[in-house]
Amino acid sequence: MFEEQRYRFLIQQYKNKIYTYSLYMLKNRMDADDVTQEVMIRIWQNIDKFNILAAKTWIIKTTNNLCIDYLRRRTVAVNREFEIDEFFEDTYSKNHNSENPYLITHFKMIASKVKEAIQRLPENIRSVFILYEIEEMKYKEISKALDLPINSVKVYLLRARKKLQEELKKYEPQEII
Amino acid sequence: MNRKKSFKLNEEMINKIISVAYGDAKLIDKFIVMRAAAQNPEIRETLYSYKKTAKEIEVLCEEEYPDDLLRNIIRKNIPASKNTISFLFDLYSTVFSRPIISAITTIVLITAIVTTLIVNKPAQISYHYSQAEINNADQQARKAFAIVGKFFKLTRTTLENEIMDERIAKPINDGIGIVNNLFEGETK
Repeated sequence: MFEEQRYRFLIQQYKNKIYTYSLYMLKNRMDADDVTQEVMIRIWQNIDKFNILAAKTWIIKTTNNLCIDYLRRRTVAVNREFEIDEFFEDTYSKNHNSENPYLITHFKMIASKVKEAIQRLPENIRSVFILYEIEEMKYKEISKALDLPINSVKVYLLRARKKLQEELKKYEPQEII
Repeated sequence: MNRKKSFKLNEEMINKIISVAYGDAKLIDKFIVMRAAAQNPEIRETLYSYKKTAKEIEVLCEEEYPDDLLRNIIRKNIPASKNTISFLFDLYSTVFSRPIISAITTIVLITAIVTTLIVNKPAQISYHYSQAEINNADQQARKAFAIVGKFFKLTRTTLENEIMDERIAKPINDGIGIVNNLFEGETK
């Protein structure tokens, strides 16, 4: 029964983190659902084995490994370039309680633009960027979760920010047109 | 000369600008970038551009995992028998399911009992009497013993004179006399 409580606590605590990370990494809702489910099953199977205080790192590491597996499998199959924004529908409208349709549309456009740009980042720097900027993890936690030295985490993050800036610049002329 | 050099938009300056824009720069870097931005329009432009992106990213938050999927997963993972929860059973299992928790609970209970005993220990009262009071108490005790002694003496006298002689010895004497008379009558 104690395991169940721990499990419920962990799931409530980390379900969105797992899901968000999988979505950004895999760019596909179905795969993200599968990965999240798989991680949750693994948490239940290992509930006795890991320290609850170190759970975050363990969970993110597992999620990352599963995402990498999925990505490897996928490279052989379909090019999903056109599926990029299929899952990010309402994040902005959820976060902004504005009732102004113009604002909602504007926020949605920005959101999709930024998310697309994030997803165009190379895999290794994307993972660091998502964990730091969206999951709000610290350098040390990211370093443990991804098995990277802290300095590499910092360098990857910087690279990601620069690359993202370049990606977003590409959109600007299109917007003017 | 050095200052002029640091205000150029080189790689190092871009890195500092990025850190400032995303809000994780050191105070000294913030100061340098702000000064550089005030003097160099190119740096100002770059800082603005990065700040804009940082703001757009800041608004992004975690995606919500659908509740129906979550319920299904929990239902699948946790055996059905474990889904019935009662508070007492929960409490019992929480405390006793693992030896370490039982041990900690026991230690806490013992500590609580010992602490309570130590804290609530009755304070030892120290008596302070003057010599006159002691003498007075001594006299009173002697008087009390004298009265008790008097009673014992009176009781002894009553026992010896009245009870032993009158109530016990005399009837026995009378009885023996009657028996003697009866024996004498038979022999005649």
